[in-house]
Amino acid sequence: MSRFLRTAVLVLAALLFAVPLVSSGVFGFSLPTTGWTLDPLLGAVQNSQFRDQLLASLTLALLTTLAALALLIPTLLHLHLRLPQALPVAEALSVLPMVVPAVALVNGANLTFRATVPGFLTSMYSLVPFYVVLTLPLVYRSLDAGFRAIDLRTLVQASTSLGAGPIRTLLRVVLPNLRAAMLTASLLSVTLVLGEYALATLLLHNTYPVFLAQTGQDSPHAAAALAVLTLLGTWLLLSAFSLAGRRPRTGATT
Amino acid sequence: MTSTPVQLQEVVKQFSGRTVLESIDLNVHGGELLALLGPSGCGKTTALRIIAGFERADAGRVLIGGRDVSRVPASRRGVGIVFQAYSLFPHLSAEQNVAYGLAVRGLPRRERRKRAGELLELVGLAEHGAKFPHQLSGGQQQRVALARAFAVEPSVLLLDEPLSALDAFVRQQLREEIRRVQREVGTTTVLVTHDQEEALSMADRVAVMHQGRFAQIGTPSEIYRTPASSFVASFVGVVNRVPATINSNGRVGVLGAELTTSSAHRGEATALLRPEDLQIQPDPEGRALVTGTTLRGAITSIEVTWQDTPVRVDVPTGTATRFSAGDRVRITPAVDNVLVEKEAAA
Ligand SMILES: Nc1ncnc2c1ncn2[C@@H]1O[C@H](COP(=O)(O)OP(=O)(O)OP(=O)(O)O)[C@@H](O)[C@H]1O
Ligand SMILES: [Mg+2]
Repeated sequence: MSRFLRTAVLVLAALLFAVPLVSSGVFGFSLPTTGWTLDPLLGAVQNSQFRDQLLASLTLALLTTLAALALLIPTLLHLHLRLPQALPVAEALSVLPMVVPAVALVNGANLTFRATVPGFLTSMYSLVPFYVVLTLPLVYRSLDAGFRAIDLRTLVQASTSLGAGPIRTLLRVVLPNLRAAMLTASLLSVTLVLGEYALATLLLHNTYPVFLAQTGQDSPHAAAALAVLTLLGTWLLLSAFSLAGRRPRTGATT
Repeated sequence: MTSTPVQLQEVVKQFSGRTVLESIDLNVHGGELLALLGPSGCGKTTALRIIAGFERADAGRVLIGGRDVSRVPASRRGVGIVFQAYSLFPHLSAEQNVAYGLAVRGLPRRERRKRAGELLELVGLAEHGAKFPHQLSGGQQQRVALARAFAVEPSVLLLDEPLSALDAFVRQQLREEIRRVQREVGTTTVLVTHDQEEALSMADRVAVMHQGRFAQIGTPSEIYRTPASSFVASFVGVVNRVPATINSNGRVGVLGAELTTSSAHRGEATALLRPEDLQIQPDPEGRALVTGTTLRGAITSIEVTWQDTPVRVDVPTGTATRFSAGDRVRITPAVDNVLVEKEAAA
């Protein structure tokens, strides 16, 4: 009985998940008159903006992730080694971006920067700091979990007593043991940036999600096809990341 | 012998206003294994961390090989450490762990592998070099940690309760193993422990710590046979506290016998007597009453009361069958110089 129930729930969940996806796929890769076709997709992909805006988003994702890691790893390292009593405060602070709506963030930024550094917001890269703030709660949490999973203090001291300086200890001991946490953090940050629409439109930057939304207005079939492919792409990314994070270590030698 | 490998001179350490080390002095001799023994929280780890350079003394000096290292960072002190917690680098194999310090020193890869192999062999793990820490038992991990610490040929090896996470059998095995390796390599070693048996059985000298001071520093037998204070006597081994009176000639009346003491105290006092320093005979007229017996392996403890004072007497287990609860017995202290406490026994 319970087995039947379990199977039923699984099937139901799979259906709920798959039906919209399959429908989008069918809608995106067929036309009422011609049947199965790649035409709408090819049409969208051949649009010169497709490449530009996809590239823009990938660049933003990369920069955001690197910036978030570069910002948070030293911070967390310091907190865990020197100021563990401040960790709860830092954690509470790290969720603040979640309670500030994107519109408020943009309006605040608009007011501040247009008055002080008018050129700043016209560059697409001005999105990076905003995205770093947006991804902060997720990246913080993933990295913090990674730090908590290792006995950081002992490992650092062991490395130090063996003669290693701080840089070597960071590169050879701390980072390798944070690899899984860094991958999770990167994955979350990359997917968040690749799907971020509100800030980009409000600040008038043409990113991939903006392209998807515009395509949706002119050619709904193309948008559906692209959306399905984007989802698959994200999945591939996800699997690649988790595979890399779980690379078996057994049998490795010096 | 050249200069003393490790010296602490009037080292003081406070944590947020609370004094943890009150001006301690310590000389660790070349090649010896010195145990820092004391109850939890007495400052053993703090003293060790000050030697290692992970903690800075508030006052006083730390000398390693005669050189003041108070301002030398931990990575330059040439001090090896084995921690209480498992501290192997989880992402490196046993061999890579041992080779880590050699890589820091810039040894070429082939020499690193060769040397790491030798060290793993020294700790009996030659076959396990390719294994990762999570594939090793707790005891094996601590052996690798030992090999890793020895690899960089430290001038001093510090062991902070390296065996406390292990079960009794493995602990016993590793005690002997550590001692053997330490003798073989000849590295000056400081072992922190709160286990008196571990300190007595492994160390050349024992430094008993109490509330941030050294209560006594001496060989295991000095510490055990001639404790400098009642704290040392009761922390190292078991003592009976028995009411006693000291007359003007310095003779101690205790358990109906008269003994000598070097104490200058006169009048009511408490005598400290080890269970194996008491002799016990069945005697229907005796003034002590057996209340029970406890088998402890090679010895058996006979618990008796002597005028309302509980006293424990240890006898070889083979002779213990002569005593059972309710028997009257005679107990006689057999010591030359009784240790006494000024306060009367409660
Ligand atoms: N970083 C620190 N900050 C504040 N207090 C500390 C710190 N490290 C140690 N202490 C305090 O100093 C005292 C001595 O600590 P220490 O770790 O040296 O004791 P220990 O003898 O090693 O005890 P144990 O056998 O439990 O390991 C303890 O009361 C401890 O609470
Ligand atoms: Mg300790």
